[in-house]
Amino acid sequence: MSKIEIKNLYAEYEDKNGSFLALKDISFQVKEGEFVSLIGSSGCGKSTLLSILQGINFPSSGIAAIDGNPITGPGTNRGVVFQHYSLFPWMTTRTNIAFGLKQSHQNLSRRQRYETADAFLAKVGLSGFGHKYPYQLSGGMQQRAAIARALAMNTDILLMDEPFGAIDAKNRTNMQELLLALWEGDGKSLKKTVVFVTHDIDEAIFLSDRIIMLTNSPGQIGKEYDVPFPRPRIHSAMREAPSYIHLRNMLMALFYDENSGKAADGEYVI
Amino acid sequence: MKYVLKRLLIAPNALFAAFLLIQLLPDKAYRITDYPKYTLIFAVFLEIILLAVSFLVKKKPLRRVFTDVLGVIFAVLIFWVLATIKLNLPGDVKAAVFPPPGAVLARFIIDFGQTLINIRDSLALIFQGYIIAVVIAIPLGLFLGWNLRVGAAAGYISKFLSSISPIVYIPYAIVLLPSFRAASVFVIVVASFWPALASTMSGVLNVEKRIIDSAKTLNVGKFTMLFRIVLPAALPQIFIGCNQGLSVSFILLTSAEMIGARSGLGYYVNNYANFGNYTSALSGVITIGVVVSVITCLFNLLQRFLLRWKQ
Repeated sequence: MSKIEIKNLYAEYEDKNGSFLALKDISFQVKEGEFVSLIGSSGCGKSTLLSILQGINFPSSGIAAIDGNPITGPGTNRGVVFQHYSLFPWMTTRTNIAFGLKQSHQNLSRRQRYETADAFLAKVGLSGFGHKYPYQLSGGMQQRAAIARALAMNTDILLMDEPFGAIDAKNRTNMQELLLALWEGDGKSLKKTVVFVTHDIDEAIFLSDRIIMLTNSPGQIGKEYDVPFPRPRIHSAMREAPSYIHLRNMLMALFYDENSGKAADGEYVI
Repeated sequence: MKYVLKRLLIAPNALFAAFLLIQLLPDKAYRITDYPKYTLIFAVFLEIILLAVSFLVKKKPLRRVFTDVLGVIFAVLIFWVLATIKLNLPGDVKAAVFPPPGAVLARFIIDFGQTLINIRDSLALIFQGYIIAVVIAIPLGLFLGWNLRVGAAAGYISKFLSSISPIVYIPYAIVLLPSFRAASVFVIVVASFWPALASTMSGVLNVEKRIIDSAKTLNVGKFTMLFRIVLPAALPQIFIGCNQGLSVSFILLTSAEMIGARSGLGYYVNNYANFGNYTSALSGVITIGVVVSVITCLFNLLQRFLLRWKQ
């Protein structure tokens, strides 16, 4: 059975211009331990789709299910990282993580929560930053802490909505490698199922087992691609492989074709 | 040497020097009792503080605040001494309403014991009213803002109600409440309630949706959502209303203490003003000003502490 199943999903929302169809007839499945990226230009509904998986939004028709059970709301079986405001600004980084743990592991004592928080901060390279407030950290460090919280909660599923979208290119590469290293873990334990939303084609190729492309208004599944590169992956090695360039060119062509030569909303898509 | 000069050559010191110089002018107002010695001692006392601050306070912004405030006090003293004793601008007849600083200071010293009691009683009244108001208004605002999400209507209603001066309610409060004291507290409660409620509600409505979503994905319960997410997120705006409420409370202190009070700063000012003793009334007004400044300062410290997570 697949971990996540989406079948004939439609999402229609009211806005000030009446109702509009954000997602149309979406169907796909994600296997346990699979890393899947949803890509598409902004406004294609990929974040809406993710918010349905998060349990914040609901489909107007169709099925969105986890482990075969339809999603009825948010749950602590899913860890979430947003582009902004994953962390609460009034909590220090370790309190943020401990707060997440309190939600997911209610039997942990206060001390255990903070110890776990410190351990995960160390994993993302932030030991010593536990007592800082989010505003005292760089954007990249904030996202590390947000990832640490999602990982500490030890959920089966990670849902990430452009988590590296606001980070500069060099740091983004580091963050991607860190994310993969943490996701792959020691290779023995079961990998988490990840759904990763991005509009960065390179990011999607580097991270994913599979890429699902959404086309614009209303969001529909364009095409799916398997990403065959072996893991562990390293940026510098991958970039030069002819198969990488081939896949990248194919995705780029599709992306631009889809947007008739340029990104529909003027946003440049790498 | 250069360092010492730099710390000494500031406007407040020049103002102190000017204050000393105008003492040499002949008095023009013979009929007014003044105690120039008190003014002089007070000014010298302030100058000592000024010098101490100039050399001991290392942080420049903090030092500037102190020296500027002292400079303003010297300027006021100069103007006050000139206008009353030295030039007798109001004339002998109206002079009773414009007592010179020495007389006010003398009155302040004579009444000092009473003033301490007044401060205690007024603060007790204000804090009682204020805390009742805030303790009701903030949870109510959280609840209304979060559950109704009808910002506009609630906003207009609270604007309408807050525009009515709490003084209007005094007769009703006296009739309906068991004691005069309760009626006094009620005036303060009403004064601080509306700004606290309105700012809490608008604070809740303006919480960044992404923060709420982030909390939702953690599957927080209703109570946790309100008190650990919405409340701190709205706190910066809540503080604006609470600050406003505090100012209004002090403004209405005099009115609140008109109802059956036998002590308190507002009562003191009101009482002496009614009997035409403006020396005492002015001493009370200045005391209120100082108390308000100190309370505001403490309140700002509390705010800085509770909002230390904001850059």
